[in-house]
Amino acid sequence: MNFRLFALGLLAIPVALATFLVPDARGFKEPALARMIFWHVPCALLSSLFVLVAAYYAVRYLNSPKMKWDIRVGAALELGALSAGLAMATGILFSRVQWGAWWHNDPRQTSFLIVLLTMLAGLALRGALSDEIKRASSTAVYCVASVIPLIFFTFVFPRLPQIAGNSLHPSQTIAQGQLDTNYRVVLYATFFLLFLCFVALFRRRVKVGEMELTLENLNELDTDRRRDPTDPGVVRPVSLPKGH
Amino acid sequence: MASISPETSPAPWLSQVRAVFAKEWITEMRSRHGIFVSGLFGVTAVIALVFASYTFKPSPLLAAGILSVILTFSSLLGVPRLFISEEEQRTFDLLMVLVDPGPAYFGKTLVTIVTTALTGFLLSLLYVVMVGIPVESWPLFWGSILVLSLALGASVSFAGALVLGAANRWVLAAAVAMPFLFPLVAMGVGALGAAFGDGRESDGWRNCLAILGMGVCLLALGPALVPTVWRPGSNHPRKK
Amino acid sequence: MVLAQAQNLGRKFGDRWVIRRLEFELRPRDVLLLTGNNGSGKSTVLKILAGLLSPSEGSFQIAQRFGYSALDLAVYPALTAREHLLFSAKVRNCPDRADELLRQLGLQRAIDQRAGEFSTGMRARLKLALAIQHKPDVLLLDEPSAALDEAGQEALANLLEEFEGAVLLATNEKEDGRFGTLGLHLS
Repeated sequence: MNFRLFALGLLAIPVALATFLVPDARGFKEPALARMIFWHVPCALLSSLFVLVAAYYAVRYLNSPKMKWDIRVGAALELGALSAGLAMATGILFSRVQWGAWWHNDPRQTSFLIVLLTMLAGLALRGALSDEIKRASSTAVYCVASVIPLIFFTFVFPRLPQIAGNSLHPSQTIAQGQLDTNYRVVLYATFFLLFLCFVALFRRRVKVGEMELTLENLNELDTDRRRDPTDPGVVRPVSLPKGH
Repeated sequence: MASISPETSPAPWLSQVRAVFAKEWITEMRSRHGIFVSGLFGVTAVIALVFASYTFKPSPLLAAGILSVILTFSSLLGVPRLFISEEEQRTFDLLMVLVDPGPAYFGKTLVTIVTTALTGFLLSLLYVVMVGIPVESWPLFWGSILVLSLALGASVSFAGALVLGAANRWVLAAAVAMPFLFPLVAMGVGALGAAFGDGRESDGWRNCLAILGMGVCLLALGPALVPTVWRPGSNHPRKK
Repeated sequence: MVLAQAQNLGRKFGDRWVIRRLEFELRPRDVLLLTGNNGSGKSTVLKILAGLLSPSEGSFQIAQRFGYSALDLAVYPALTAREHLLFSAKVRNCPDRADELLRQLGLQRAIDQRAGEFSTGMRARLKLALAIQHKPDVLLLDEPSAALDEAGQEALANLLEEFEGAVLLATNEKEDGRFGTLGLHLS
């Protein structure tokens, strides 16, 4: 068994237990269920992180078009969409339990939905292009260009005074240390755990992509070896007699 | 693409842009398909709105929101056509043989912006007249429409350029344009809302400036990034 | 002087290699005849050299001034023949030579007619005019005579005989074989 994965599994047990054992938070309609933020906030942060990771590898691909960068761009997009989806799902549950409705017309909820849709659009673009080189370059360009609106929606838009004032989401609670100490410690722990989980997933996804590429290259090598030994392999033109 | 001697000097960048602009303009004016589709959608949307809301007058903010959405969708319907049609009528290869991708993209984007602005001006006027919204600041109103047209044209062109060669290009163009369009709609509501009397005029101009900034960013990014999609490196090594 | 060359050129679509390990070098007056069955990769080679497709492996070089004409290349239906040549002259920074070229290729009567109203043969002539307008050093021609009538084929023959650069001619027409100085059969 992979030692790192085993260690990650071992770490997950106390962190998951801590999320249940921490005292109930005050000021919520359903204090026991406020624990959802332990998973909701880290997932939202991780999705933003993967947006930046995808853009970073996209720039590397545009600088030097190698498929290994494209594999990383694809992996970051997939995991970004996964973490954004999880953040969305936990957010919707939280909204139902604490605020009384599955969907509030909350600007922050909507802006995060746009972030999720943006990543899904990137994946749709990848899926719609069959030529692997075109797919890689289109995705890279999309990831680089969409990073500006994504940063706007993730970091700028929710903090605009007119938005922050109308949102049910607290905007600076964690940054300003307004969170209960126990809650803060567990929140950091779950973030750390999820961060490690997603890094492990990212590495696995990249490895799978690279193995697919290696397998493809090996198949070609095998075909080359099985070629007729008298076949020179190279296709060159021959001179034609005049007026043939 | 690698090249070997003898070298020649290709036409300057701006001359190529001018030539592409002229070609696209002539083509667009002869078929008028893009303008027609955008305009028809916008007019239908305005009439539907007037028909549905004859018993009440929308608030300045709601009116600004509706107008921004109409302008966005009208540009989304007609504009990527300029890029996608090039592939659908199979002339994209001819364009790539004749023109460098950067100026080809920029020339097309400029035509897109002009047609978006034309339909935008007409639709906005029609909207204001038919819905009967009082405009508090005409300079801000026309300024907002102008910068929105520029940014919408640049965004939708960018999306149209990215989806060339993809399956379901039309739907995909809309999906890919989304991250660029949503901020524009949000800022457009702010700018037009101020023009209709909701909030301070200075805030409206600030929104206009933000829209302009985003449009200029996309205009500058496009010619730098799109060539890598339209003409991926000729010596692209597949192996990792 | 080498005008076009390919080293270990290969292109695959999906899992299938259409061309592999292609090597050639073209000098002035060379006419490389590319032959092969449908799907053997003739058009792919020309598209790679024209910069319309990227190779999956290998590399190539081609003189900056090249002309390309192919059966599946479309022209702008809303533009006239003259407008096509004016547009390409502007972007290529060369004289338009519209009257001269269209007369040479037998299109002088259709000079102000929109390409959307052209027959397939007329479109093929217009594409040839666009390919040679800037006096290229290399001509990439994909099935150039497939849609041409007798007069058109004669115009093409004259053009190839007078051409001083290198030509890559992908064809299945036996008649075109007489132009070749080099041959490459793709399978």
